Amino acid sequence: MNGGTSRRARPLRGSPSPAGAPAAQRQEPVIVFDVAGAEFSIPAGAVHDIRSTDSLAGEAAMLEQPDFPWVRHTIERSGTTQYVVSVGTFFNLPRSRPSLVLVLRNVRCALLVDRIERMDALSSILALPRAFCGEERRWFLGLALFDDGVVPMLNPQGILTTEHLERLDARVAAGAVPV
Amino acid sequence: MTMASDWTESNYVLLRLGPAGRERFALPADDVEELAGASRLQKFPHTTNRIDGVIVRRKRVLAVRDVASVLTGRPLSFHRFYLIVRRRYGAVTELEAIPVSGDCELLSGVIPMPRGESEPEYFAGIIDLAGEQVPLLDLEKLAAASSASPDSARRPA
Repeated sequence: MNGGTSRRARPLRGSPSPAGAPAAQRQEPVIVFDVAGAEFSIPAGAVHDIRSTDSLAGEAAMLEQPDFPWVRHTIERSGTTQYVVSVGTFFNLPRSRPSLVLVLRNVRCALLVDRIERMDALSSILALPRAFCGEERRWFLGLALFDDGVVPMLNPQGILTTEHLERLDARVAAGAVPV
Repeated sequence: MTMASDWTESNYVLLRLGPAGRERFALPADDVEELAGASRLQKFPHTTNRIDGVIVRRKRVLAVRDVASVLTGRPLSFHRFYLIVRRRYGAVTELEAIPVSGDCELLSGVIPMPRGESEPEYFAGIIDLAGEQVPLLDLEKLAAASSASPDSARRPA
């Protein structure tokens, strides 16, 4: 994992509300990753493990299902099935070459990403402006503001909904194909 | 150009959209915070219609709303400024950016006329400028209309 701090996060204490309202006050380490040239971030505490796609080759099972094209594989962890979400496909980004899987903590989801850009620490994140009223309110915890721009912070619990999981579980029950 | 914030309700801001800024619309001055130079538009995936992305201004993140597509039928291919406007969400006011083609003007002491029945709801009235009928916009209704307007650029749900 190349987790250097190449860019410093801006201190955001006292940012005005609502769009600039701090959604968290303490310093929180975040992981910034890249998918097809687009940057995303996620709280480091939400990530249990970072694996290379090669290292998962023997553990992942292919999941053939037509409902959610961004889920093509599952992995088993502690007796629980986790669904590997291709972040690029999920967000309809251009085709890329994912090389890492972020195995998330406390959710049944892992993220297929191209590479880790850096690790950083934020004192706060900015709330998504209220003008955004679609699914992005579920996908993102807010926006991380860095010197050179904003990066959406993924909500680990917002990628796969309960409905997604129920339908995926039904597909798994019908039989996954080992890779 | 920074607009003064103490204008009375009879003041309006004239904004320009479309090629060469030929199409003009007006907003109540109370809805306008300032006119800002072009900032770097930053994009990320979302599903909200007619939101182009965000700009960062004074450590605030402002959504950028494409109103030109609703008002003129096509997005601005080039814009020089962002008109920073105040949106109201219940008791909360939040700033939002609207790309505009050219400089804006303050109109003082004009009295709007009621809009015609066939005019869209986001026209609050009409302002007569030397014979030119300039639509006076209702910002909240315009935002609602833009959110309801199909947008092929958004991420497919």
